[in-house]
Amino acid sequence: MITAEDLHKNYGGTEALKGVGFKVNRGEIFGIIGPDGGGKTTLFRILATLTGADSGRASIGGLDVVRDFGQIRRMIGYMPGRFSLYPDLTVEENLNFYAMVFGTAVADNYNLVRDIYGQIEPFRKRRAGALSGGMKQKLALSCALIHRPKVLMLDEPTTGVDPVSRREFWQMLKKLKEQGMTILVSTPCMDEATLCDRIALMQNGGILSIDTPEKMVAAYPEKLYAARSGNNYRLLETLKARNDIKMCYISGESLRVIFRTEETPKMEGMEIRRMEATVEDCFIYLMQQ
Amino acid sequence: MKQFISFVQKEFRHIFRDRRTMLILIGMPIVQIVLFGFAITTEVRNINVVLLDPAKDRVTRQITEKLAASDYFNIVGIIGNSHETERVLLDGTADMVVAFDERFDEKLYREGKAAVQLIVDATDPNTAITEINYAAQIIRETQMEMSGISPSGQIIPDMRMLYNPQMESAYNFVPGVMGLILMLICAMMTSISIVREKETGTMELLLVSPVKPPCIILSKAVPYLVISCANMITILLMAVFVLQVPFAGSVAWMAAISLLYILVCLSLGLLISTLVKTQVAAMLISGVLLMMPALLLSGMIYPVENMPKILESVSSIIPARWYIASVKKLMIQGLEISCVWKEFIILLFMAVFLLAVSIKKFKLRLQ
Amino acid sequence: MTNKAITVENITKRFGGFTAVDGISFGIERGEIFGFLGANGAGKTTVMRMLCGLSKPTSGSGMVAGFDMMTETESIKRSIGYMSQKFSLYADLTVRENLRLFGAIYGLRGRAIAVRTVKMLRELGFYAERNTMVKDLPLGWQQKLAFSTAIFHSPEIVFLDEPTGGVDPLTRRQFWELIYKAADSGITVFVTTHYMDEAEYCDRVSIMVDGRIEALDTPSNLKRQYNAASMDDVFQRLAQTAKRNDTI
Repeated sequence: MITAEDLHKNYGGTEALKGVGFKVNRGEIFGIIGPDGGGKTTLFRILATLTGADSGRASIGGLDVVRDFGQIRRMIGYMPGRFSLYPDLTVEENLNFYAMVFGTAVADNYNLVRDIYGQIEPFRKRRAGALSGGMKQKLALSCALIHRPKVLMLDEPTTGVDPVSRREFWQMLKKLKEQGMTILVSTPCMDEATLCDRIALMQNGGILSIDTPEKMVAAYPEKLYAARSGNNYRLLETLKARNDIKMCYISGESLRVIFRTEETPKMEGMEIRRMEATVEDCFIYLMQQ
Repeated sequence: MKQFISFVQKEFRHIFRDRRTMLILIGMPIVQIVLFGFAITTEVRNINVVLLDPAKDRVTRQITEKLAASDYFNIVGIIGNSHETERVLLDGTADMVVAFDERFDEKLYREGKAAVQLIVDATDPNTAITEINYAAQIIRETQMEMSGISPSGQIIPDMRMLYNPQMESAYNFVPGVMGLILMLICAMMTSISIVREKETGTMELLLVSPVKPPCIILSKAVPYLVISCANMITILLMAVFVLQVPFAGSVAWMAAISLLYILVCLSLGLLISTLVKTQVAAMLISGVLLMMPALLLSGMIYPVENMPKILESVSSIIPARWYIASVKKLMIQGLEISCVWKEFIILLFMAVFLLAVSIKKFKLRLQ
Repeated sequence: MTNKAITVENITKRFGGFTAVDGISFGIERGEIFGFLGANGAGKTTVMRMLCGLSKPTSGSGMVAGFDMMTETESIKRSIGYMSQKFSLYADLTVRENLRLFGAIYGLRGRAIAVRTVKMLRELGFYAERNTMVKDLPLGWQQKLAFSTAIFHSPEIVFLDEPTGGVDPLTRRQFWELIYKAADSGITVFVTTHYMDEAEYCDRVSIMVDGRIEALDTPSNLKRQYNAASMDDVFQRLAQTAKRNDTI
């Protein structure tokens, strides 16, 4: 549904994208996972026909993002990083306005947004600026969906939103996907990666790896251990000083350790156990290569 | 078309829901007119009068007494001949010189009319008008009272304004305020409202929509065009009916040149909005680059003719200068449109040029 | 003198008829990393503002860094540091100018500032960048620098508001290493965050729901208690019980 081939983009002297390519299949949730400043937003803008790439090609539904941008604009629903709502217009007015912009009416596509918009409809007379983060997000998504797009592009939709709204949001995306929507979503949160069908890890304008989260985790090449003690900071310092340790970093309540040896060394006060890697561990591993 | 209407509707909502914007749009013209018109013309009291009374007869004495008895005038001296008039006005002894005709009484009855000159310092024209009106009023009243005794005859007050015979600055501020306010509303508000959408990110969504950019731009301009016209009408009505500025020329041509000027200002606003990224920058640029020169160089405060050559040439690229000049000619001096063809063409050229540049610069894509 | 950095007894904050914080009590040990979680509108920000001495509780009592929350807010402000993701450093000042500024704000003398600056930048490995403008540094560096600035005047307690959003996992680890190091040296760290994986790094976390603290324990105890796989699950369980609408 979406293809990107070797996209390059420079801003001033900095390379925002250094040869990005991937394919998104129809009806899947594809996640671009990576930190801020990694090129996610630039990539979204190119795909949403807002800016041109310096080189490389991209297409959506077989249409070229440069040549056929007019047709693409009718086909995609785009939700930029900042929720693009008019704070001084009411919930209802925002939705009506965006429907009008895309030459449709709310009534025509109400069934598509009913699940999401229904939750904020009791507040339809309230100005969008007075909504909580979670409700703004729902309204923004409703606005992006109102013209029944085939592809949904969401640039960091969950940033600044509390965990409950975040989880609800991902459930909404899942439902949309079941209705056949293709969804491209970006996030800096590694723990949201497992909610996508396939993910691309992105860093410094390049893609580190593309796969399903499960396969990516399974492909982790090293034996990863979780280690902890009463004082993880001291433990970290101790481990770092040893030369049989290949990699060692904090991760939540315990440390992640990769040893150079098959045997795990015993240390007093240290609990150690084998553990499966997470997407975040994969990201760290790939970054170090 | 339906899209366009909903765009315009949305734009009006933005305006009506923001109290600050409303205040600027509606309050500004009124405040400016009131400030320039009334606040400056406060009531005048204790006007120092010097008399030139060669006649010294019954009627002149009666008028003098009436003047002295009123709250407004103090008789501070008497001069012997008209050559001294200028001296007493210049050295500040007198605010006004009241000069009666020779043989005043006699002339009044024999010839049926006698003249009295009211000479004032008109460097502050508003005050001068007030002073003269007061004095003329008192003279009229005195004559009414006396008409029982002397049925025929008419006193003709002859008003002389020294140092500013055409009373220029008194009427100057009306065209000036119009030039300024239209610039403020069209250029500043339009640019801010477009840039605000860039800032909040909504512009991004509009750009990815199938809506054509000219539609976005035009819908931004329409509400401010409407408001500017309303403001212009308010200013004109206030000027004519409250400040009694004469409207001597053709209303239709006034409207035409004002619309042209509004167009120039709107294009300037659009151009600014394509150049800057933040509302603050838009405000600064329109404030410093547009308002200040419009205020100082347009001839509103300082006459263009008195400017140094360099400033004069700078002022010629300021749309407000040409607009103000043409309004002065059309409205106050009541000249024909043929007298402002130069201003008209210059403004037309500016409008076309700015509009072309700003539409070209308004990018379909974000960079 | 107890070994508590913060003790709060039955603190309540009302705004008109609305009770934002409803009689909460907790204690934080010196050198502890304490995670303070809650959905939007649960009262997190209000508590944080009171602890920083920016507003006074309606009722209750509490000590922050050994000072009374009701009467000694000025002394509190002097003994805490603050860093938020939104604002921490002036982007158009250089690294050194920022440090000099914040040192001066907290009453350090010029000489002490100079000495500490060199020491701190050497430890961070930023010494070569001392004359670089903050906006020209990578985001991860800015965050590390912001944290170091927040503890530059050796405060008793440092408050962190969503400190590590949006950085790559490796930079985030380095950031948390800095936090661990500060805590190890005796600075108490108070973290509020939306990101539950960030909560897992804390020694103990509390979760606020509707103005009350509904849970307070180590992340692993909480996960055990609620039979949940992650802190996110724990949070979802608790937040579902919220009655207060998050639309305020």
